Amino acid sequence: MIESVGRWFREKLTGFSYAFNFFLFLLKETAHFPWNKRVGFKVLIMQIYFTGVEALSVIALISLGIGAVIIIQGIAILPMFGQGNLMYTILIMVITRELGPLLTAFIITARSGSAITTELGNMVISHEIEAYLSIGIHPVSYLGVPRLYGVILAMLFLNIYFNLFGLLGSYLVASFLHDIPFTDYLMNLVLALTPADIISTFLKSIIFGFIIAVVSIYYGFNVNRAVTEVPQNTIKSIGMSITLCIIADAILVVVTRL
Amino acid sequence: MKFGFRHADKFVGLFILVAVVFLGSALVVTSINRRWFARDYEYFTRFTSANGLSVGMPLELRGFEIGKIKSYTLNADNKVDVTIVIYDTYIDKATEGSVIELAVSPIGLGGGLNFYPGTVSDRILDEFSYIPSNKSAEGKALLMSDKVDKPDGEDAIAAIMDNINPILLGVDNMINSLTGIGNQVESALAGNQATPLGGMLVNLEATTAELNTLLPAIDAILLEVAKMSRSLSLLMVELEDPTGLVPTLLDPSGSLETMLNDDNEMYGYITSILGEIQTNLENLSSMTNDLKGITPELNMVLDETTGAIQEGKKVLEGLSNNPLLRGGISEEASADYQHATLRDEEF
Repeated sequence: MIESVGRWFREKLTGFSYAFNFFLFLLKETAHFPWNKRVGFKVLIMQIYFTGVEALSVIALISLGIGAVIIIQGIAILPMFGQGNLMYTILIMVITRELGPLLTAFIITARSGSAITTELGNMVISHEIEAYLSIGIHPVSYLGVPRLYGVILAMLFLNIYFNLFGLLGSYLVASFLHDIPFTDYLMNLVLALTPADIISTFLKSIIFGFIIAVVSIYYGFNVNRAVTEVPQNTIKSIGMSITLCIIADAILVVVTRL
Repeated sequence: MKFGFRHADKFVGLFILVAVVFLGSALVVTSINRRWFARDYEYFTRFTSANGLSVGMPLELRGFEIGKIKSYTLNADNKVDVTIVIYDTYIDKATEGSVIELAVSPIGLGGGLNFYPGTVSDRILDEFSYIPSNKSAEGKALLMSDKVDKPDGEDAIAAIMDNINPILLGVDNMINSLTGIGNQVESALAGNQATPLGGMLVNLEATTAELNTLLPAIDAILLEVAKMSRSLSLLMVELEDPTGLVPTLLDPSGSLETMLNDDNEMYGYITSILGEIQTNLENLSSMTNDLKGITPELNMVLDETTGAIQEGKKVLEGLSNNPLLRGGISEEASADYQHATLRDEEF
C-alpha cells in the first residue's frame, strides 16, 4: 500500500518534472523562433490556415447566432425596465469579454488541439521524430513552436472575427425586426466599448491559445510507442485544455474586475 | 494539391489583413470617441461645497460640452478645489475673465456646470490657471461688471429649467388637449356640431321629449297605485284593530255561535247529504264493476257494429256507383281484423 502510494507519487513527480521542463524548453524555443530562419515559417502559415481560416465558417455561424439572440432578447426585454441602452453593454460584455474568447477556445480545442495531439502522436509512433533528431533538427523547435505560434495567432484573429460577426452581424438580424439606424447602433457600441474590454479579450485570446497549444503539443509528444496511446492522449489533451481555459478565464475575470 | 493548401499563404494573409483592419478601425473609432489622443487643457476652480459635483460632469457653454470635471478635493480652508479639463477644440473659449457656475437644484432635479467666457480680452488662459466660480468674490465682481459673456436670463435657475422644460412642455401639451376636448363638448352641447357627440345630444333631446309625453300616464298609474295602497292600509288597520272583523265573528252572540247552537239541525242535514253522496258513490262503483265485467262483450259488439257499418257503407257506395245509377262498386282488398283484443296478438 505504502509502496504503491510512493510509486504513484514518484511517477506523478516525474511526470510533472517532465512537463515543466518541456514547458520551459518550449518557451525557450518559442522565444528563439522569430530569429530562426529555417523552414518553420511554412509550418506556422499552414497551422494558421488549418486553425484559423478553416474554422472561420464555424466561428462566424456561432457568433452570428449568439449576437442575434442577445440583441433580439435585449430589445424585447430591456426597454420594459427602461434600460434599453444596456443592450449594447451586454453585447460587449458577452461577445467581446466572455463568450468570444471562451467559445473560440473551445472550437480550437475541438478542431485543432485534438488534431495537433493526434498528428504529433502518430509521428512519434512512426519514428518520424527520431528521424528529425537524427538529422539534427529538434522536433519541438520545428514541429512544436510553429504550432504554438499558429494556434495563438489563429486564436487571436478568430476572436476578432467572432466580435466582427457577433457585433455587426447581429445588427443585420436585428434590423429585420426593429428599425435601428446603423450609425446609432455603431455609436452606442463604441460608447459601450472600453479599453478594458479590448485588453481583456486580447489577453484571454493569447492565454487560451497558449494553453491549448502547449497542452496539445505536450500530449502529442507524450505518446511513447503504442497506437492506442494516441486517442488516449488526444482525449486527455482536450479535457485538460478546456479545464485550464475555464480556470484561466475565471482568474482573468477576477483580476480584470479588481 | 488541394486548392486551399496551394493558396494557403494568400488565405492566411487575407485572414490576418481583414482582422487587423477591423481591429484598427475599432481602435480608431474608440480612440476618437474617448479622446485618447486629443489634448485636454487643465484648469482649476473653487466651490464652497461639493454638492452636485461629480467626476466626469460635463462643463457646458451654451449647451455644448466643452470640458468636464477631472477631480475635486477638499482643501485646507474647507473649500472644494475642482480640477477641470477643457477640450482642445474649445480652448479658444477659455479667455481671461471667464467664470464657472455650478447650478444645483435644491429639490433634486439635477444640475450643471456652466462656463461663461470673459469678454475683456481674447487672451487664452494659461493652463493650470484659476477660473473663478460665480460664488467667489472675483466671479461675482466679473458678473456684476458685465464683462462676461452670459446670455440674459441664463443663471442657475435657467440651467435647471432647461432640464424641467421638456416636462413642462409635456404638461402644456396635455392642458392644450384638455382645453380642446372641453371646447368640443361645449360646442356639442350648444348644438353646433354634426359630430357623433352632437348626434348623441340631439337623440337625448328627442328621448327627453318622449319621456315628457309619457309622464302624465305614469302619474295616473301612480294615483291608482296610491289608492290601492290606501285601501290596503285601511284593511291592515282593520285587521290590527282588536274590535274589528275577527272578534265580531267570534262573538258569543255572533253568527258562528248561532250556527253551532241549533240542536244539531245543521249537523243532521250535513250528515244526510253525506249519506246520499255515499249511496251514489256505491251505486257508481257497482256500475263500474258491471261495466268492467261486460267489457269484452261490448268490444265484440262494437266490432260487429263497425263491420256492419262498413258493409252498409259499401252497399251505399255500390248503390251510388251502380252503372245504372252511377259507376258500380269499386274493388277493395279485404282487411279483416283477426284479433278480438290487443292482448290476443303475438309479438
